[in-house]
This record gives sequence, C-alpha cells and structure tokens, in this order.
Amino acid sequence: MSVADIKFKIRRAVNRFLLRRLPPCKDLVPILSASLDRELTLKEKIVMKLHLFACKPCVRYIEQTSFLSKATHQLDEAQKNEFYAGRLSESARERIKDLLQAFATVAAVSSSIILAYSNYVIV
Amino acid sequence: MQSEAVSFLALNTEMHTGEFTPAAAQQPDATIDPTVWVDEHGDYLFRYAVVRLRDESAAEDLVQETLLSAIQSLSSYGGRSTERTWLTGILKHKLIDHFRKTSREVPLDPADTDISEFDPLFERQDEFTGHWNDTLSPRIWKSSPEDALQQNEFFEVLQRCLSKLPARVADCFSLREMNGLDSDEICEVLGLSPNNFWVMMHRARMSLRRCIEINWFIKVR
Repeated sequence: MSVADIKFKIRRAVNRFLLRRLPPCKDLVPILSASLDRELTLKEKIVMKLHLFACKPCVRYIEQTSFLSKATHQLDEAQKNEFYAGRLSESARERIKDLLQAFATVAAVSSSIILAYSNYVIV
Repeated sequence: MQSEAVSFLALNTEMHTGEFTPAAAQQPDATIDPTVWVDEHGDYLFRYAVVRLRDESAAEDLVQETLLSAIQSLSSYGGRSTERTWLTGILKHKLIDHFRKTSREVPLDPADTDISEFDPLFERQDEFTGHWNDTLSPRIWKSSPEDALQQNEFFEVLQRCLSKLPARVADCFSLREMNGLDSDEICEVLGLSPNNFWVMMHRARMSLRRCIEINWFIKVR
C-alpha cells in the first residue's frame, strides 16, 4: 500500500465515523441554506463544519447554491444591461406616453383653474 | 402671505394671455418632459420590473403607474439623484406595494411550504439514512460557473427556472436575492411567518440549483 492509499483509507474512515454521528445531509441542507440568510448558532456552525469535512456532495451543494445567489444578483445587474432582451412593447410605449400627456394637460388645466381662483380670494 | 403666494403664482403662469402651460414646464428649470422619460428610461424600468414579476404585462402596468406617480410627485424630486435613480426608487415602492397587495388577496398555499418533494433525494439502501442518494446528489459541474455569468443564454435559463417556482416562493427568493430585503421585511411584505420564509428559501434554492444544473451545467451544448 502506498502512502496515498493509506491517507485515503484513513480519511474515508474518519468521514464515515463523522457521518454516522452527525445529523444527515437531509437535516443539514436547510442549515446550509439558512447560512446564506442569517448568522448560524455556534452549534450549527460546528455541525456544519464537521459535516462538510466529511461530505463532498454537501460541499458541492453549498458552493453551487452560493453561486446561485451570486448569479441571481447578477441577473438583476444583467437586466440593466442594454444587451439583455426586453423592451417595452410599442403599444405600451404609446399608451404610456398618451397617458402622461393627458395627465400633464389635466394637471395644468386644474392647477391653472386653482391659480385663477386664488387671485380672486379676498385676503 | 397671501400676496406673496399670488405673486409667486403669477410668475409661473401666463395669467394675462390665459395660456395653459404643462405642469412640468412651470418648474423653474422647465427641462423635465414626462414623455421623454418613456424613451430614456422606459425599457430600463420595464426590465427591472419584468425580472421580478416574471410577467410582461404586469411589468408594463407597473412602469405606467411609476411614471404617472412620478409626474404627481415631481415637486419632491429635487435633482438630488439622477432621474433614473429617482424613477427606480418609485418603481421599487410600487413593486413592494404590489407584492403586499397580492399576498393579502391570496391566502398562503400550504403547498408552497411543502418540501416533501425532496425526500427521495435522501433515500438510500445502506446504513447512511438521510444522506444524499448517490445518483441524485449535486453533480460536478463540467463548465465553469464564472463562464456562465458571461453569457446571456445562461440568464435566460435562470429566468426560466425562476418562472417554474410557485409565485410566492419565487417572489420570496427574488426579494431576498435581487432586492436584498432581509427576512423580517420579506415576511411583512409577503405575509409570511419566519418559518415560512426559511422553508421557502430552502425550497427555492433546492429547485433552482437542480434546474440550472440540468439545463446548463451538465447539458451537452
């Protein structure tokens, strides 16, 4: 047996020892998710660190889920980029412009009426 | 006081000629034309709304409401920020109001906080009960996540994955990850208990991770 084989076997034994005694992945995954939103308790942190030491799939889970967080934030940024597909439809554009015009005119008319009236108010 | 008011008003209207000038032009710097906003900021505001509402016509309505509201509060815009920042701020408020209102109208669906669909992922035949099933666990991603962030197609995939989630779950996730609201704020806006919030975030992450895995990272392109 080479040194590498021995190291591998020891590591695997340690992992199995830990995984038998720690909460399983099913219980840990919600904690991993929560770690992205809040501070974990000391107990949660210890359990998480030990479990991640022994469990590669959970390490992949948290790495990929952290990436998801980053990607979603960038989705927000990407849509600010002019190259991202998505524009107001022509009909919406026209409709909104017309509405704004109409509103501005109504506002001007009513404020002018109020102004006209206020000139006649006796002090 | 009254005469001061009258003379101020007189400065701002063509009382003698009786001409009606648009409300916006009565501002000291008469350069703000609301219809120009549509051309300069309409698409940007639309995109901002559509990633969060996942519905184009709802996004259009919200942009319309935002611009109308902006005209009405023009006097409160002191030019402290850029027009776009100011308009986006109004849109953000409209979005939150929209979520608050729709959450009140629709009671929480128990299915939204149901995570039993993930139980099979942790079923095993050996003694490691509750650990990831070997074939259903997170895969090694062949293509680089950093590369994905450079490609528009990836964001389209992410957007589609978001659309597959139940509405409240997707709203919870996007308010958290896009708007950066904290758990208390999201609970208030969406009418959730703290426990609902944790479960929904967990559910959103499990589904989305798997969805982008299948549709991008292990797909042969």
